[in-house]
Amino acid sequence: MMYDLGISLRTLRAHPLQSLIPALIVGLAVALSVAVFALGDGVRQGIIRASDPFGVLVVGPKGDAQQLVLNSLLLQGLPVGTIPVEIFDVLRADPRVRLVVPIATGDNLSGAPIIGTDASFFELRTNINAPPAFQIAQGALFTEDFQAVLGSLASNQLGLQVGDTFRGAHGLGASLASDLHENVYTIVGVLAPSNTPFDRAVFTTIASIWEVHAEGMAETAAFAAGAEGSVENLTSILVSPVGFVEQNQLWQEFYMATDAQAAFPGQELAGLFDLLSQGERILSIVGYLVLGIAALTVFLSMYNVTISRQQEIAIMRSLGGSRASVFRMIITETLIITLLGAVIGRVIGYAAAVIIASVFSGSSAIPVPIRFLPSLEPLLWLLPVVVGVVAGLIPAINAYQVDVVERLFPT
Amino acid sequence: MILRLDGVSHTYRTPTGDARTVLQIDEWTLASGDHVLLRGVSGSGKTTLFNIIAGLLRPTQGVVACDQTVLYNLPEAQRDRFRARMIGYVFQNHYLLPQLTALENVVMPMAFARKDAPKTWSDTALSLLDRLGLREFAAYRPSQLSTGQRLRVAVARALAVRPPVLLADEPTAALDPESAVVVMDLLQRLCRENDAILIVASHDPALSDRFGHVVNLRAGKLSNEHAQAGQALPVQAVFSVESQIQ
Repeated sequence: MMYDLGISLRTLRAHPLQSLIPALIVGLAVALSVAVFALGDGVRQGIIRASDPFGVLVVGPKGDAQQLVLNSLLLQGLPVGTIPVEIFDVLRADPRVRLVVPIATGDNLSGAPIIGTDASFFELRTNINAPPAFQIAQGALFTEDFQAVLGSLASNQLGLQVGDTFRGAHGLGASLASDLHENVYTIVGVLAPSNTPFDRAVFTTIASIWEVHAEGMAETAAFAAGAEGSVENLTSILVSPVGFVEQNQLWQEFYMATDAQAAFPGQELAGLFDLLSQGERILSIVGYLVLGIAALTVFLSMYNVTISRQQEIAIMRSLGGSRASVFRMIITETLIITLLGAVIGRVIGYAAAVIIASVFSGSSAIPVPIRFLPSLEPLLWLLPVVVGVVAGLIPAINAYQVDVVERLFPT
Repeated sequence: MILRLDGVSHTYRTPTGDARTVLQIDEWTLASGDHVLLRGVSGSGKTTLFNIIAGLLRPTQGVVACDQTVLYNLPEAQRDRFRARMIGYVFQNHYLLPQLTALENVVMPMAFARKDAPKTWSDTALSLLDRLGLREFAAYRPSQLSTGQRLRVAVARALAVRPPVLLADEPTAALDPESAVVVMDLLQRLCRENDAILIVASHDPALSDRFGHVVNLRAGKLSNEHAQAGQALPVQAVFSVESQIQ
């Protein structure tokens, strides 16, 4: 058996292109599946970590609750709208609430969202006994309007430090110089990395945001389109209730209310995960199609190889090799090709997932942890084996049927 | 060991549908240690005869037997195994596997025959290559060897399992006279050591002197060689060719 394997390996090495190209195509099919599942898993893990680290309810305007959560906690997409600041005041006075964090967005600094909030934001914790999630690394928190604190990633990406100044721009994407507001912010602090999307944000006082937009009421920032024409609005409020019962009571009350809604991040993101799963399913189907194409490539390659190797097969048979042994040899060769592809696919797949995750994390600050997925392993070994056997079957039957005398003594 | 062909004939259909008999042997018996030179022009049936003895080509009629084993009564898989263990075949075109080294080519029949333990295969093959003056070429591929070297590898391969029957089809056809002498010396010496039946098919007149038994194959029929006009070679007890000559 070892000798048969050795012959198969020698034969594959003797036809490197016919062996490596099908192996690479199988590898790409496996890589696609690995990357899709690893990234799907990483994005899920990342979103779970990023969206619900503080156990808060997100209160915001009526509308798309998923968008509200995505915008408030993952800093993705546009705000749903605005809610009056009075809701914040009511919540702050509510004994069922431990911490209330106002959020006002609508401007950006070279693509980094500028978030108006107050000191309560820096009191957010992953649990009641944990230290605050956001810690100052340099300088201090803002104490006056138009002072700003940068998230760690924002500081790195923008190259700004304590003492630098900047002007914000309308909207949430990178803007032209002509879109810049007149007001100048001064950076007074830089946060330590928190491994949350807020690392790419810029923080300032709510009043700074209001003042900027009061001066440009007629402009088109999402923020300025608030209720009753006032700029003293918020895009959302993060609410940390004192307990689970209180959390449900608050959610119920907002559910009945007409001016705002409360959303559970976990619940809303479950819908997002459904969407993600659908995407994975579609990409998996693409992966299976590529694997099918790979099977065809392996088949064609092995078919051509066996046709061109009929004399070699006849020589082996003339030396006492049985039909079964040449059949086994061809199947072994296709299995080596597909299993080599499976190994290559894992390397490419996980490497691609790590690179894509790193690019995604870099731009979104949502950590996308890529981990080895043992649950995928049986399928990702079984499929190449099945492909190998199926693709090798007809070439192996061809080899099985080689007429020794006709091949070696054609005249 | 006794190799016996009894009433063996082979007929095939030509493209025009006619039946053509290419071999017709009433009786031919060889015993261990017999060395026979088989002479015949192209198309006389030499290769057909070899293929029938090797178990590669089922004759249209007749019996091929080694001792008590009737070759074509065996199922194909057993016939393959029989061929692996009992028959050594040196092809005219050598037919070495191009992707394997000389050593690996020699090991191959041992792997098919499974007569010896796998751990001895390389040593046996190296020893054979050594005797054929090819030890230093053991790791060479056929494309890196000369024609004479390739032939010697083919001889080593044919002898690797010490087969009781060795068939050599035009082994010296592509060699210069000096190399032909070396190869034939080796072939005969190694077969003598194994007490094997050696049948060499060749047109080379220089080989006649090496063989006690020379038979001609003409139009598929065997006949004794008359080395010189009017002198018939003595027919050995194990040969019954004479009785078939019409």
